[in-house]
Amino acid sequence: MSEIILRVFVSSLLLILSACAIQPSGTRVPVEQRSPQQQPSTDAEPREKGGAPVESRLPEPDTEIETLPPPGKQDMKELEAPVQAPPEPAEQPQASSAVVALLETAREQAAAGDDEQAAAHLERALRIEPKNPWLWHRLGVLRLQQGDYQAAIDLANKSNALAAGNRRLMAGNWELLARAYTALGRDAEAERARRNARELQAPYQG
Amino acid sequence: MAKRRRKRKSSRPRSTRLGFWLALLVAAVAAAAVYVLWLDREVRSAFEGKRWALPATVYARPLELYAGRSLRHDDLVRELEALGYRRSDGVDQAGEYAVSDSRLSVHTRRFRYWDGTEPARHIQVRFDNRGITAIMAVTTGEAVPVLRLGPRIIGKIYPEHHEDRILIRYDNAPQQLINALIAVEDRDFYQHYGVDPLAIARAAWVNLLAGRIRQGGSTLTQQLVKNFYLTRDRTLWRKINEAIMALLLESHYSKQEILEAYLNEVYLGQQGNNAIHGFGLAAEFYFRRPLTELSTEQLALLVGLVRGASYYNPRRHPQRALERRNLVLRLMADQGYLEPDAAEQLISRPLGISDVPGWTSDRYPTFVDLVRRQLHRDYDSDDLQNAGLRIFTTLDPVAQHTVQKSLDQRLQRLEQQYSNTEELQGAVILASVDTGEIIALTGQRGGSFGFNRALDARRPIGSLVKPAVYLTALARPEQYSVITPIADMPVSLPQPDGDSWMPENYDREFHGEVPLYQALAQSYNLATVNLGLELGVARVADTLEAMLPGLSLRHYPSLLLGSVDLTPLQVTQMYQTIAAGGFRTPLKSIVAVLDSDGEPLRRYPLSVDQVAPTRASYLMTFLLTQVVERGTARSAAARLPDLMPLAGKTGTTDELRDSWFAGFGSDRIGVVWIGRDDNQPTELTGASGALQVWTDIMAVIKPRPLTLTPPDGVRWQKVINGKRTDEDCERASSFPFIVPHLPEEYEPCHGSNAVERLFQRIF
Repeated sequence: MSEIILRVFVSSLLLILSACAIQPSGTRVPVEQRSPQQQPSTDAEPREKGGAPVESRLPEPDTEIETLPPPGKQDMKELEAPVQAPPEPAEQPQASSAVVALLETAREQAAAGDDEQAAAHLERALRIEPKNPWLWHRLGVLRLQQGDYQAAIDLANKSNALAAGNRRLMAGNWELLARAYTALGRDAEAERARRNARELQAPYQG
Repeated sequence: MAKRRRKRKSSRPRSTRLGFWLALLVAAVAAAAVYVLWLDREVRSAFEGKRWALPATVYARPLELYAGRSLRHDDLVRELEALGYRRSDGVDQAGEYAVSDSRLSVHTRRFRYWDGTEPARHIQVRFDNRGITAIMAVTTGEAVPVLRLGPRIIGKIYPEHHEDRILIRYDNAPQQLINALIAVEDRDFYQHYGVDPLAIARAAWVNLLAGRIRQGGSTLTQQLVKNFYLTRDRTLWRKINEAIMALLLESHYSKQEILEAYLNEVYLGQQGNNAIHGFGLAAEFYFRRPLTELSTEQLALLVGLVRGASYYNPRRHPQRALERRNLVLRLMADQGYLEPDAAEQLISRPLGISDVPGWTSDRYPTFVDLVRRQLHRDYDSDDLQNAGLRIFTTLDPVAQHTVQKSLDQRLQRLEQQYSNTEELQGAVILASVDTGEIIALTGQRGGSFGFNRALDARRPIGSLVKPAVYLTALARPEQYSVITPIADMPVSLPQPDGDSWMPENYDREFHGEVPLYQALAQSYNLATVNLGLELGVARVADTLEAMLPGLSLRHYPSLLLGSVDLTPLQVTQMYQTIAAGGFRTPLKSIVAVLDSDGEPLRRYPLSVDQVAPTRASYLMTFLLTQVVERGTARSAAARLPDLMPLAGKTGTTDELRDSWFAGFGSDRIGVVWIGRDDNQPTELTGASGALQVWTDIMAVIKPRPLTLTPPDGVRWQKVINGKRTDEDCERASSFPFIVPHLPEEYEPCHGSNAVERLFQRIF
């Protein structure tokens, strides 16, 4: 549980730091640090929580280490053992202060116009936390600012793929997509992206 | 006759004779002047146009240090040792470290990266049994959030004449180095004009007494001229040229400029084919430390080598080298550069030569080969070999060591286990899932570099192709889910030549209707072919081509069983795309290139390209976890219980010619190929061969387990007999589905008896 709180806290820090991250229109970047309880949950949405319960692990398959029986000749009981839903993510060492520091440097460099230096720092942060959707989002924003719209689109999609349940970030990604599509003259896709962003900003109905 | 003529000459008027001699003199002077002018031009153009031939230096990844990193005390010590850091009690200068129980005190070196300069810092690193807990600046006590150690050198790309050097500037040269050099080689350096008649006379006297050449009278300037412009022959004419050019050089350039050139030019040793030039590289070569970190007696040794780097080679002739070094130290004391007491103390010290040279070439030949090929696309050979480029790569030397060792040892064991298996070869690639960075790569068993199989061995991939079939299916969630029944039934397709193509399962049996996830987990050929034919071979080919740009496949049904030749590198790209949720990140080995002054030249930025839908890719990853958990790769689950879940796929080709495994965790992907260069059968399946190497590697690398957090729009559901059931149903399996395509029908898990339900819930 403490890990979740930590993550929420770090997410909010990241949000503050990525001040020029694209925010859904009408939402303001929070500048004060709220207590973790007030943060929007970064955890899976309730329906997903229901779908992925914590389960005990399967007994280890009784196989030899070195050589295998040919496929099809194995114990049928093992074949038919129920498939388990994934357990909650194992606790991983968090490197958040490192990532926050790199993100801060990247922000300063982007502000000074050193876009590629900023990108290089974001990549360093991604080496440390490759599944952190905020970092992919930030890289997308950078590419948008540089006019590399296709790269911005791919990066926003990558961020969204990792951002399950984080409605605020997903809305930001859709906003990023809307701008990139608009710049490319793909108006229908831009409109759809904008609609998605708006839906995510609406209070969650459960 | 002759007599008369002479008489006639002598009878000429005096003035005419004088005129003749004068004319001759003028002509001689004019000729000499022209010659000197010509030499002058030569000297200047050569000195000013001198472009030091600097090999390109290839660096490994720098080690990032931050609190929370699972890097142990011993790991960091090993890295520091590899970087030539010196263990000491008090950490006074850059390049030193001190050890206590759970702490390390390190004075890091300054290093210039693409994205800025990492300053030299004195830090303290604290550990617990999991890794780094804190990093603090020693002077201020403030937390340091993240820093990089300098990267190891893993290779060089040499000029054609095989010169190697690290350039140093006069301002950065240690004063005692210059003092020692002047004391030994040219004590009047700052006074003379390029030649030193006194020194020549002194040398002549010494040599006369000794009866042989014992001492040279050449100034540093003359020595430089000799190395710079002249051939090695010892003629008087060359000596005269050398003297004139030395005088000219001195007239144009300052003592500092001449000395700087000397420091970089002088020959100080040999490493294989490559000549060690200059004190900068010599410091790394003999002591594995930067020149600026050397102590006085170490500098004295290097100066001693000027007179005969091979004769005084400290690794081969330590006694000679020691005597030579001590002579240098005594001369320094004689001339007031050292206090006599201090000199005596230094003389008592050992040589302090490192066991191995600063870096050994060809430790990572196949990886450097990959880097070199990439560079040749972006730079011409001249720049690559001479311009001193600094190339920053993604290689992790620790992982590389594990990969090579695992491959070598496992192949040896396999050859012992299987009687008819010999001359096995292999290739392994290890990469980061989301950034596509290649962290280790080998294309051969240990030994000398020949054929780079990781890049060049094109082999049929067998069942490794199957995920392309299943991914194509899962991208149509309205039609296929992970539990859709697939017919594992005989297939017979007429061929153009009149024959029929009748693929078989590995066990030569038919398994009837099997759920989709099991068809892949057990790698059933017939189910896969039926599924692929249902989808259309062209669509499967499209899926594969999207992951591997540039690939152009023929649409034969045999493609469905992997009759396509790919290199291990291509297979890694294919599985990287799946592992990263459908986002292809081009695999890369180079991060950035700097020029010899440390200025950024080029960066190879991270890019992603979505080529498969996110949700279908998530289901695909789930299918591949089932291969490891209950399918053909389950020996990995048994050997790596703490790392589960991991995902992967075995591949075996006709008559067991190729043994493949591709698998990944959350952050690392590894691909292994085993086979023979003559393409003969190996007796190995993907599971008994390549998977074993992969498991050996992962047991050490310890990838993060997959988290399998579903992306938006994917939901896990308990299922029994293909129908939804209660979430607390223990005998049911959970499967991920793409919303809203969940099973529609419901089957109760428990009997209608409420007591029985309660009973089942409690137990």
